[in-house]
Amino acid sequence: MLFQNMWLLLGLLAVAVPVIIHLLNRQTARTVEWGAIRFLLDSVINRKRRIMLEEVLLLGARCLIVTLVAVAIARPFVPPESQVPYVIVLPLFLVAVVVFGVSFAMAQYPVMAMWFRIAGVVLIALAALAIGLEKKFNLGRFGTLSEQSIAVVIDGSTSMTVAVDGKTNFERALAEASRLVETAGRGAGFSIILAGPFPITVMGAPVSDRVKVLSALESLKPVTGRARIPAAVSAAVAALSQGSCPAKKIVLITDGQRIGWETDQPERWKFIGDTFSRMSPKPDFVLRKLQAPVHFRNAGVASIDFSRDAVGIDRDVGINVRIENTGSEAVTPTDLKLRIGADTITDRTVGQIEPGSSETIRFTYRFKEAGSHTLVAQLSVKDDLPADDTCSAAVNVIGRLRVLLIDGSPSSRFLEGAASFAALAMAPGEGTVTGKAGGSAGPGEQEGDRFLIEPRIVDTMALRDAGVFEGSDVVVLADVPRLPARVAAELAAFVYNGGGLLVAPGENAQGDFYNAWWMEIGSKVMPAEITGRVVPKPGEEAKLSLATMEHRAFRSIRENSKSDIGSVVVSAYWRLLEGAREKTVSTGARMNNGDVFLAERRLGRGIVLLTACSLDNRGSNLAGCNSFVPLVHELVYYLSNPARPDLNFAPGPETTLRLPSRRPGKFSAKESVVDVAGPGGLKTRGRLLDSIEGTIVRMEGLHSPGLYRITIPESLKETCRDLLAADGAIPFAVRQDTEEGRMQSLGTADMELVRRFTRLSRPESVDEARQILAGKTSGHELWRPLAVAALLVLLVETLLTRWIALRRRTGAGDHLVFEGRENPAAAFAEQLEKVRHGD
Amino acid sequence: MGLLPGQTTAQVSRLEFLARGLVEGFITGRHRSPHKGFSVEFAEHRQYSPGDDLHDLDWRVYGKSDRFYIKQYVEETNLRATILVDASGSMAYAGDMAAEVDGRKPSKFEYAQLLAAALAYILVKQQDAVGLVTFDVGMRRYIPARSRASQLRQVLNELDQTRPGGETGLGAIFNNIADRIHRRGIVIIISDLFDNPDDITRALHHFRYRRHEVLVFHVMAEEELTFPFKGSTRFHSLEQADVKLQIDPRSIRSEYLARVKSFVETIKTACSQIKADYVPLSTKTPFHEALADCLSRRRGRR
Repeated sequence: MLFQNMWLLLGLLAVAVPVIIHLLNRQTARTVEWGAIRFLLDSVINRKRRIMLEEVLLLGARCLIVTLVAVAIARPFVPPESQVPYVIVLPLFLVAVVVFGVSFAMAQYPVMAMWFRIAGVVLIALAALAIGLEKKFNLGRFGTLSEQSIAVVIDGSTSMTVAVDGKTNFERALAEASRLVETAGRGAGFSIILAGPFPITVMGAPVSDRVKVLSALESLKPVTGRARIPAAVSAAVAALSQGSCPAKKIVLITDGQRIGWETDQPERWKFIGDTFSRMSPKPDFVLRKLQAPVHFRNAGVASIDFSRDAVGIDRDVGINVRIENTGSEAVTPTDLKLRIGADTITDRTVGQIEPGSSETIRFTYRFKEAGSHTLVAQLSVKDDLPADDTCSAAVNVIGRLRVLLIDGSPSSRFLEGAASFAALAMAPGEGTVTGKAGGSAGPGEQEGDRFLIEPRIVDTMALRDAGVFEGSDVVVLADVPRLPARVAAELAAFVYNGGGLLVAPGENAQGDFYNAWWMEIGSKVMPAEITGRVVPKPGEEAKLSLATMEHRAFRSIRENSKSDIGSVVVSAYWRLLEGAREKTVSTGARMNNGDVFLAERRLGRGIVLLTACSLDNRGSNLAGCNSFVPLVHELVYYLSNPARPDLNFAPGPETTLRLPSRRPGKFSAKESVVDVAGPGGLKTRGRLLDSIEGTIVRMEGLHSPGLYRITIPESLKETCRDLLAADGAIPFAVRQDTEEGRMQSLGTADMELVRRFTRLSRPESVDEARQILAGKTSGHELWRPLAVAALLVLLVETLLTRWIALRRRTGAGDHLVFEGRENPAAAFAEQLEKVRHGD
Repeated sequence: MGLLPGQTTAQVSRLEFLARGLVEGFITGRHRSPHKGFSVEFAEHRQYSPGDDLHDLDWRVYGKSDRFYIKQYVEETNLRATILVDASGSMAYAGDMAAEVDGRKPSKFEYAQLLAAALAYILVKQQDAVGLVTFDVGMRRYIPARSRASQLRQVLNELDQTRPGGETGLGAIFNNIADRIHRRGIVIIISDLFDNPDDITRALHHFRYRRHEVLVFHVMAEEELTFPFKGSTRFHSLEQADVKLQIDPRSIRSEYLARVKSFVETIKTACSQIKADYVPLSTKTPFHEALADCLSRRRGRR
């Protein structure tokens, strides 16, 4: 709490007036020589406290009136980010003055009067100290400055586009920013940063040309997604560091959505605080928070998910579109359209969605073409935030999966080979048996019978050739006893670079080889140790435990109520010993005796899966059960998944798309530029470069959710064939940020965190912000409530006076009868007579 | 008297004059004892009628005129009245509301003085014995009751010389006096009775025990009865110099009046218990009016 006209506080001396009147009243008292003092004393003893109380109340009220008026005239105000709680200091001050004043009405209790006076003085001193501190710490922050650099950070997040009182907060923010620019001092230079999912520095080095700054402000458009404030503030700091003005300020105009402030990561703010303190001068952080919408309607498409990891052309895929109501009212969308390429599926079953709840609409679709596809879910709904009604996704549909099965115990009869059942399960056609399986339909096969997976069975002899794994997506080691060291290293590298390896050891497998299989970089290849062969007695065979089949590949099988996987009997298996806990190792399924059935290791970008028994009919009856085919399929899909690039990205300053490449690690400094087209006609560029991870496209500034396309050079098209969409480009999507729609406001704790690391001030209005920039500070004026309070106390004082007078008058009517002349006279005479007669 | 300064003499004369002036008009020729009887002082003759005591026949007149005349004497009464005048400090209070006597507003004491003088005058004129006691916290002067003519002068002189001051200690004084007056008679108390009502009650009972008739003239100033003060007032005690009280009188008025009322009631009750006569006298009532009323009532009763 501070005062606009501090010297007018001298008006407080007027408190002396009621006190002096009171004292004068006492001083000019008429002196009466009184006889009946005993009655007076007795009465006073009874009334003393009451009289004092009345006098104290009256004098207190009068002092309070004068104090209130004096303080109101001095125009107290609460500066932005006041350090002194005025709700305590102001009453403290009033009480102090009143306590001091009323002490003069306690002449009869001199000790009490003295204590009151001391208390009054101490309290006044405390209040003065508090105000002094405020002046030092708060007012001191705002030196009068003519030359300063101001970074204006405008929140461009989605929530700013919600209309509040007929105008969006973004428009409001621009208007306020323009006003700040127009009214700023002559020497002020401005930088402009648009805060979004990542900051856009519209104007870097501070510019003092008003026209330029204003036109830059006018051209601003809201971005979609959340405003990541720490990043924006860092950008502002970067911009400000280019100026050399004696004062630096960062003005952030936002609607105060908690999301994006990243207050759950205090280190981010600590970092900003460190940056601030390294700057000279230390910048001020002025947070102008606009009114966030309280009631608003909003439903949006939160996400698009697929029911399976690998989407192929061979079967239907479930597409789950989640609709979420992040508003404060129930919303009933008309329909939900899902556009996949040229096809549009409309769902009209979307019902009313309550605030805070979500609904998932499931579409079923079978992609006809391999390659990348785009999906756009469009929700038809009338709400305040249309930006999130659309959600896009891209998916890479698999045309073929090449699986190399290495048979460790080949046989002349097809079904006796260790890999045969698995291969047959992958592509249950004649081509598999004859070994002529391929992408094209074999003779006598219908086009519709084309299988996604192309299994190729080789025996260990084939491993002598180098590069045998090239071109494969997944390798299966079916009962392979051991591998030559070179092959083992090659296979490990294959996995490391994104390939999938399924090891199914049968009776020929040699545990010592597998257990000693290490990669060059010092990682084990096997997820578990193969310890000993277990052959349970007949009747005591182990079974697969459905409850433990938590592996992702088993999900659909487990959820299928008709699945017979629980009845699989394992008659011979390898006991797999889980090693020390490793982050990359997990157990996917167990048998009912607790032994591990499936273990997984993530090796580099690839995956290694190890089963306890072989995938033929020798160790178990797995190959014979109905679930075998889907199980094998799911395992292959799962294993092939890491090899495929993810085409959906979160908005961010830098996005990296990995292109398929089987020749990783061949790093060349050569890089070329590719064109990237984005939503709303956005055109940008990406850098195509070879990195340790293979060929990648690195793009910057993809913050708007929606669909993007990368046009890659012709030379790469062959390698990236699987990734191309029908139009020859690689599509990808930047995800929607639904958090932004939740409208969760900043809390006190958040502000405390920010204040801890920055010199924060929070103006309540643009004028206040203006004054802060101008080096003045106004804040929340308090004179009105004080004036009202003075009037009220005046009224109370009047009532009190009347009441006391009324109380004193009661009893005034009591007339004491002190007459009786006729009687005494008669009595006197009679008395005389009696005595005279000598009665 | 000659020893007294002239002023005082004049004052005594004035007091006597005042008393006489007030009383004389009512009593001259009327207030002689109506009972003619055994006495030393001759009063008149009247014709004998059968039944008269032959002792009273004036034989000298019979010798001269051959008629029977009876000698009549002014009766010598046994009335012994002791007037107790309170001269304590509280009696010095002179309120503005008091009725004027002789051109000025009398204090309670002056009122009491005058009343005592008038009573003494009447009593002496009636050949009764009059005594005077002035007191504050202790007895100041005790003039035993006598019916000599010079007694009036002595009483008036004493009254005149008395100045109010000191505290009030009625209980002890009354007991003392009650012991001192051996012959039963009438005790006239003129006081504001500002003492502990219980002590007063006990003392009055003592008088009664001594078979004295008690007549209480309770003199109060009108201000003491109505407490009409306004604005902050500093009250100084007339009895104890160090007792001072500054207060807004309105704030305690009702309480004060209640206390006075209860005090008066207590006194009144005590008086009625011992069959004493209680005469409340406010200084507001003009003195002559009060006295006239008193005496004319008495006359009317006759």
